[in-house]
Amino acid sequence: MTDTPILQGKRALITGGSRGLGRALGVAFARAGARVAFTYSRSTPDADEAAAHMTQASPVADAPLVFQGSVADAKHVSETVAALNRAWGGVDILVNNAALTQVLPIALLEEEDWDRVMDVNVKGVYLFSRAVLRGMIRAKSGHILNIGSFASERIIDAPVHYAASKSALRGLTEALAREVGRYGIAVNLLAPGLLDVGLGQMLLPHRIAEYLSQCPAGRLGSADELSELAVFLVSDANRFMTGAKIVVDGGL
Amino acid sequence: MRALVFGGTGAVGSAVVRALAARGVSGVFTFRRSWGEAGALATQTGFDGACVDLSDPQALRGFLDALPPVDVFIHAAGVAPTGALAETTDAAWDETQAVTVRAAFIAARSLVPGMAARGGGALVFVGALDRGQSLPLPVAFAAAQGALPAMAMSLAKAHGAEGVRANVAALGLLDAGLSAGLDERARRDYLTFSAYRRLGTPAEVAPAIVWLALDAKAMNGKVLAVNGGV
Repeated sequence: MTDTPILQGKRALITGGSRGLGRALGVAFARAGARVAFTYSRSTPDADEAAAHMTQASPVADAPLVFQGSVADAKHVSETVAALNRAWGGVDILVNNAALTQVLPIALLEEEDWDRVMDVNVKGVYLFSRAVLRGMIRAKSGHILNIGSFASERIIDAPVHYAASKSALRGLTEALAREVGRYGIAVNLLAPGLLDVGLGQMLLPHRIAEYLSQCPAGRLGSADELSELAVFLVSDANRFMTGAKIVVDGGL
Repeated sequence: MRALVFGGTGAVGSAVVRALAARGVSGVFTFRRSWGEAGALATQTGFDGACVDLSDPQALRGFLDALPPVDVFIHAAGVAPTGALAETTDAAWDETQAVTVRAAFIAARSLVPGMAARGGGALVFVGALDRGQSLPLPVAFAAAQGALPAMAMSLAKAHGAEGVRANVAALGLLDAGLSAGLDERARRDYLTFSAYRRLGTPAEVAPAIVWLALDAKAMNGKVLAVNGGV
């Protein structure tokens, strides 16, 4: 093994990077030598804290570039990618991580809840992917990693708009992989089981207990271990995997 | 850390042994006929080579019984029978099942208890078929390949709590190994329909197989498709 960090010199953009899995991804990518940028929608204190963690993780104390806005806002998306093109000359890695999770039974699920989840979890992926792909196609390389969920793989207790949005990413991932494969661009889907962040923090304790009773690993996944796996998936070491769905759920 | 690799002198197996050695892993690989390649690979990697006929259950059990403990098992040996249903002989069916499926089963039965007793281990079956795929494959090949994900799922459920992981790396067409025996039309179709529109190489897929074995600690009972997008 060489000592060169596996993402040395890579320019990585993570959506939804202020908290949870997005923050852990930023820290893992920074540790692996990447230059990191992330977006966030609401909490500036969270974003500041995440940025400090990423700077600390970077072997050269490189501070991430941080952008506030909604991934469903086309203006925010194009301005973010334009700023990165100016700052870095392009983006090598996009992780579409930003997602809304809202635990609601369908009877209480209003049309605006449905639209908001679909806008952030699906339309945001389309907008950011389209924006970075122009540069990736010119460069004839790049990695797009979409963050899905085991909610698209199993019949489980998941809010229907959330499960539908994550299932949509399977189709999006496969079709996009096919469309841009000719340019050497990889598009993959990382579908975690319940984690110690996100949906895993919102379900009722008896739902978590039910989940763990079916899961051979007997524990929730951690955002940190997921992020270490993601590092490989977006690295140059991953050269023949595209359109793949990588389900990481401890054996559920 | 010690590994056992079946089919170590094959195109994929030798790339896997090299990739393991690059990660500081030592161990043993099996081979069937290629004494020259086996000697060279052993010299390059520090692995030991063992000539074992994987289709002979008694020989395989004897080999495994004498084996020092291993933490990682990678089954990279395979058989790729060709031919339509009517031309597929019982012998071809049996050999494919024996090398692809029964050898993996015998290895798992022999190795999993020790792995569990030592706190865990990893099995990776190198295959060719994702669970959901629809591909025009010879019946004997498809049936044997289809058994691997089911076996990984079962092992994960039964032994995941003991720290044992079992997964499948489902490879697409490569420019070497079993893929080389494929007929020209199937190769052309693959080049047309795969996202990357090219064949893979053993050196490209080996890091993903090793990653599945050594690093993907929360993946169990799963199929990792490393196929250029089909």
